[in-house]
Amino acid sequence: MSSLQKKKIVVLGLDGATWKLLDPLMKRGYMPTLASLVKKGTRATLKSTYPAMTAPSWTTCVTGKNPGHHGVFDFMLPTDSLSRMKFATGKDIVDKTLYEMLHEHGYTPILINLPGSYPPRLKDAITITSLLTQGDEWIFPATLKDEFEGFKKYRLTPDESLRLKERKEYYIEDLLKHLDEQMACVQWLFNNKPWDFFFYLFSHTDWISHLAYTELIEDFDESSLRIFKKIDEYFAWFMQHIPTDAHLIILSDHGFASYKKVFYFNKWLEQQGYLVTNDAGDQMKGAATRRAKEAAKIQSKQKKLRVGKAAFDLLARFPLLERGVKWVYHAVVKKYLPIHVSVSVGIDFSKTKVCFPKGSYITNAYINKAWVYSDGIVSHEEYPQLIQELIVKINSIRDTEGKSIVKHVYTREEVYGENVPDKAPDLFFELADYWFVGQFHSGQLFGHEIHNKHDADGIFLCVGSEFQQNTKIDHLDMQDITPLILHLSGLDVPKSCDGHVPFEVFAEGAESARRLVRFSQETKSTEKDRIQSVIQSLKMKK
Amino acid sequence: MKNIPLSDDLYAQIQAHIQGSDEFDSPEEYVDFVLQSVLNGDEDMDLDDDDEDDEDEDDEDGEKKSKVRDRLENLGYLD
Repeated sequence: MSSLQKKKIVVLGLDGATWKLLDPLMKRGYMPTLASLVKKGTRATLKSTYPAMTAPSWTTCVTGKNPGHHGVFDFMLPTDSLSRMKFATGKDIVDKTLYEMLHEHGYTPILINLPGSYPPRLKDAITITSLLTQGDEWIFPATLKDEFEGFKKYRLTPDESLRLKERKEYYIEDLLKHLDEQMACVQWLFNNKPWDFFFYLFSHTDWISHLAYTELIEDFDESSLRIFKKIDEYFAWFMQHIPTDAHLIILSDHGFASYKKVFYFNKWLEQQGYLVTNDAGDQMKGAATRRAKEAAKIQSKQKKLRVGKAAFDLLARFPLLERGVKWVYHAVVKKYLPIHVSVSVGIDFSKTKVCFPKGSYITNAYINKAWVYSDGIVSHEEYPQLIQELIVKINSIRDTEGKSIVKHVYTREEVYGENVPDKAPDLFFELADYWFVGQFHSGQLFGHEIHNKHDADGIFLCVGSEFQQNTKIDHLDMQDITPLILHLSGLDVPKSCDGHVPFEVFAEGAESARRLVRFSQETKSTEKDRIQSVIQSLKMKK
Repeated sequence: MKNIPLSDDLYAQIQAHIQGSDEFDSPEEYVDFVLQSVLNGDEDMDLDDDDEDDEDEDDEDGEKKSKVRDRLENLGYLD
């Protein structure tokens, strides 16, 4: 334990927030509290992970490691076959998290809505898990529910059906209600429970951006702006209630971008002979949830029309026909006719070398490696040559205007470094104007649709006595956050962290600026870790 | 509290194994931890077994994962 006085640290996440949007909002006076915080602190662009997705990025935030080293490569991870992906949980995080390290040194963490926090890794810390919760247990300890009435209204997510029904105004109303309900609980915990490390993630910025980022960035859409204004009011509440000696960090896991063009990556792989499709589709079987059951009920009353591989092969030859068919589907069939159309094209993994394995769930390319997957077909010998061949080919793809579709293609060694598990993705893309998708919803390679999706440029802002004021630095990496917080707290930084302590954020003469970083040895597995690891590996073999 | 007999040999082996450990004070604690891990591990295994998920989502674990998928799809994380 450090001899330094324990510092209280508050981390507020703004999922998917980007300075591209926040700067104009502050300039127009929509976020006055954030603007005042920027003047009091140090800001930077926060570079996300590869991929720039919620699950891997927040896990990097709390481990200091890139996804290749912490194990949560995406929302979904491969099992013994690329055809069977599982949702990542907190159990997939390799090694210790920031909050476990703080806890070991006497800090009391409170974690609310941190992706990857289910199931909780700390038995005795207050944890409210995130939208990645599997099951109905989301509040730990469960007895908290009896202490504060507000928890009875707490919801992990808003009413998503309103978004599905494209009832934007109602959805935004529910987002605001959801925000108020969550914040009532956050405020109660902040004021009534002991903490030294307090984490809360506002997911609402991501949810509204997926719905309306293009309208926000281009037209400052009034109704969507209400979310940002409301969050700014809550920032003001935090500033009124935060202990004067506490340090505040506001950050996002990735940024946002408005992509107006799509590239059907799996379709291209099929054309090049790297991927083989079948008529099996990629649909999850069964209907377990209430919403899915309702949808299935509606669909059961409709006439079913399955569009398979042959239909898309035909459409591939006649682009104008596809455009017409799609227009009729969206304008007429979907709205007025009792017909349910399902796309029934899937991947034949026994004949596929490369793919986005799960439609557009995954946007990194996986090689179907024979030594990793039970139905893999690419040998060790073939692997390096295949990687180089793909990089050359993808870099040479041009759209109809002769432009490259991607800024850069990276191997996993370039992105993650050495010692990466075999099950990590193999190729990553730095996108340009095109959003890459894996679905087979087109016979063409290129499409024109608006996609409000992530980019790599998130936000970072830190405010407190140790930090510089009114300072802008170029960028930090998400993997720097754990080293920063550990060093600020006077604790050792594990040598295995990929990030570094960003000294440029510290004020001149600040104690953290004067103190050298102390590195801890590699985290040594305890006997308990070893037992659990042996049991886990036995079960994997079962 | 129930007693489960262990052979003298096994007890001695555990005793030797945890000698000097600051995690376990006694062989009883060690055995308790191992068994708890095995039993908890069983639950984990069921939760993560996607082979069956695709085949039958009517069971409880399938429903848990299905809910996560629905949330992610419906909120725009996944198309």
